[in-house]
Amino acid sequence: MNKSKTNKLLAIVLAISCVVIVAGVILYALLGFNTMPERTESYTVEVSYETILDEIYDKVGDLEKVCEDAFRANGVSYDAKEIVPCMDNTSLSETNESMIKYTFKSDTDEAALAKAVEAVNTGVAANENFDLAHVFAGMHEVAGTRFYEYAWRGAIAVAVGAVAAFVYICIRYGVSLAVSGFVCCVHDALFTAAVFAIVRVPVYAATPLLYAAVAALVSIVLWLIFANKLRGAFKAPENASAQSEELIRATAKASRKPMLIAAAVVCGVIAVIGAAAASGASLFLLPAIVGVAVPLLSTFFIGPEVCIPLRKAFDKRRAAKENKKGYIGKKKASENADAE
Amino acid sequence: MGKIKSAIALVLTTVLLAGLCFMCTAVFPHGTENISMFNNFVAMTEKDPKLGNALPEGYTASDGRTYIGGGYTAVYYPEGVISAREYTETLAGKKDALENTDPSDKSYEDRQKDVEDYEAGYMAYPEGNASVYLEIEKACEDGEVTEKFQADFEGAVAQLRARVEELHLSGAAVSVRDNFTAQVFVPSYKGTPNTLVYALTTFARTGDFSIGYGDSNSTADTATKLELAEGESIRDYVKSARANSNVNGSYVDIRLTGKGKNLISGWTTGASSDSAVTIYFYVGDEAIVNLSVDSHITERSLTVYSASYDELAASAVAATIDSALKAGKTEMTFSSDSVEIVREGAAFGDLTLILLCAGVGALLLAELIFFFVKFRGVGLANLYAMLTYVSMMILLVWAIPFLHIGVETFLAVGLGGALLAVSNYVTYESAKKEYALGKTMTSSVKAGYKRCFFGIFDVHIALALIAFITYFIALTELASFAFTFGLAVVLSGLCSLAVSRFHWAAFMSFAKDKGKFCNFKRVEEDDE
Repeated sequence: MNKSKTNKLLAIVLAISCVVIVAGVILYALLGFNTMPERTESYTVEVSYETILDEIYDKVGDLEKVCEDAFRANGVSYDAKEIVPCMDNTSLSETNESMIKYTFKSDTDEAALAKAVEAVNTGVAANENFDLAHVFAGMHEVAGTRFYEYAWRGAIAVAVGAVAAFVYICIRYGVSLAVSGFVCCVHDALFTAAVFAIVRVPVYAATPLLYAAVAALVSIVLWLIFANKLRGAFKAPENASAQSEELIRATAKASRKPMLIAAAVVCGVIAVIGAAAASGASLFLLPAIVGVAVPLLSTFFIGPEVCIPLRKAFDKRRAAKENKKGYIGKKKASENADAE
Repeated sequence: MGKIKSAIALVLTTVLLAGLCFMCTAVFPHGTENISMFNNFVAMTEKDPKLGNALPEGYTASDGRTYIGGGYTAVYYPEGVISAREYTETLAGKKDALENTDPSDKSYEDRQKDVEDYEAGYMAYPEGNASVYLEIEKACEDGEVTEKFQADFEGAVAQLRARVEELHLSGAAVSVRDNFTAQVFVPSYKGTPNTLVYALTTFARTGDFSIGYGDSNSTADTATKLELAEGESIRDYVKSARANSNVNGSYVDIRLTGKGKNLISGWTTGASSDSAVTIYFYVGDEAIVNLSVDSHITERSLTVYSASYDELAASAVAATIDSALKAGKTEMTFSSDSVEIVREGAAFGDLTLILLCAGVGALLLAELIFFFVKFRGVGLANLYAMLTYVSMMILLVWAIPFLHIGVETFLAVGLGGALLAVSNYVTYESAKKEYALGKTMTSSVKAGYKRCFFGIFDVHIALALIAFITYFIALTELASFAFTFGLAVVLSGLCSLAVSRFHWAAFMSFAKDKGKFCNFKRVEEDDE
């Protein structure tokens, strides 16, 4: 790819990144992440009964049928159902009561749900099987609250970690590679979090930061693969006369295969663990693949292109310093020339 | 390495590794009539409450509690709010009593009035579906909820949220239910049932923080409370409260200001073993901590130990004091008697733990097969490195008290394993290239490792650095992931650069054709 095409591509990639990150920040501020799996905003219908209904009469199935018929008749459908035992609030031992807890999405028609609950209570009253079990159905609106400390401390943690990695790369590989690696790392963490804010894939509340951390870690691994190869290329005697721009581009191209392999291995690990796990955990794990894909793209398209001008600038500065070292003054130079 | 040395080293490491693997995976009954169970490290490790029960029926973890995941949800009713069920049942009881009374009886009118008063005393909320009932006298005016009641409830929820957040428990949550009740979820993996109840009921105490003192005959109600002068606040005396643990157990550390120190010093001047002074710390009207003092206190912090404190209970008390200190004024209290508690199941489903283990197992098997196919005998070195890595990770997660098995732990261990696999692949490939150039196997391995060493070292150091820094700043899931990943990276580096190399050398000493053993080939040059 020639230089002008590469520059155009870089400009496009950077523009897309900026748009995605800004849109992500705005949407996060307005809507937050889609934490639907935590069911922080939901309606619940709790049908409590004494456990004799289950243990002696074996009628819990009948009660569930009454409830589900009422939901169907009123056009509402639940998201999750669980039978939960009620606990004593002094010993935490199970009492003689349990409840069937139905969870509905927050966009469920409230009036229809209220009617369904009324129908459940009417249905229960009409069925003598439930007389002794003190069955009672109630509806509740649940609104979750956020723990902001987790979010801001997580964001600071990822940022400080990235700075530490930047300092390390700076010591080991030089400033130009460190700065471009840092740009990639911060970009990847922000971009990954922004993707989840924009596409609103259902995630658990704490996970977008975890995915951002995964993106930062993968970004550093990929960048170190590139940096290591580039250092080798600069040291190779056959490249002594090569321009740094050429070397960076050639190394970036040569690093793609090992980077793809590394990313594929990480994706494979996440995909297999995610696919093997139950649906709840899959939802936790599988979106982390975004945190691998984003660094791969940035290390291909952004990192080396950011590195080139920085490397050139540092080379120029070094050359200027070396020239300055060689400068001995006009008078001394003319004296030397006379002596010769 | 010589054959004898290699054989001895391999036998020793194999026995050690087999022992570790056994401790990590074996489950079997033992003892008279199989009354006890042998618990492996995985079974004994704390687990994320989101993961479901994967243990066989009747199988009990070492602490005597069967792991079933999930946790407890407590619903708090503020004074002036009752549940629809309580309202319906109380009203039905009153109506039953009325129906069973002869209208000519003297008490009939009283009972009728009782029913009418009860009905008139409460307002259904929300209007459409009556999830709760609000006491009109306390919460309503002209058929509407008063602004003060609303603001007090918001203040009480803010205190509750601050307390639960302060616990830094993965999975803990606070929600508002029906606009006027609060709901707290606490995962079951921390604390015993007693301390969980203690924590949940302690959270119900809202109101202002205050301190007082009395002698051995006084009680919390009769103690002399600190009277704040105009313009003064309790924060002029008490700075904060923190929970901590040491070898003696968990405790609450209450930090005082200079003024607070002087106050306590004044209160305890005459304290001795014969005439102890009790210092009371109140949240609302109830004393949350009593500290019996038998000597003059001149320190800036008060350490409160209690036999009933474990980590969770001490954290709950400290968080309750701290939030009451820092929160704005609220007059609302939650009724601790009417806290409703239910046990919730694991959020990710009942089979998650076993499915995750199966997924990791499948990955491990695939990785081992790949290395055996690609590098034949060197696959053994990879096998030993990988088994060392996995068993050491299980051992560490079990041994380090603040780590537990969760999805983030699986992710961290999986990513660390991937790093180890890639590091091994890179070094084996590097040695293969050296061998292809015509070097001996020993010098190929040496040169291969030398060539890759700094690359692998850099990746591991940078990742460990970012992981441990993240752990020190972040909380809950991210902190857990970061620390586990940091450990995984360190172990991956050790296993790749030391364990794998050592075993490669040991196994290779028995091979006659070393090139064939490693599936390495020379590059054939054409002689022209």
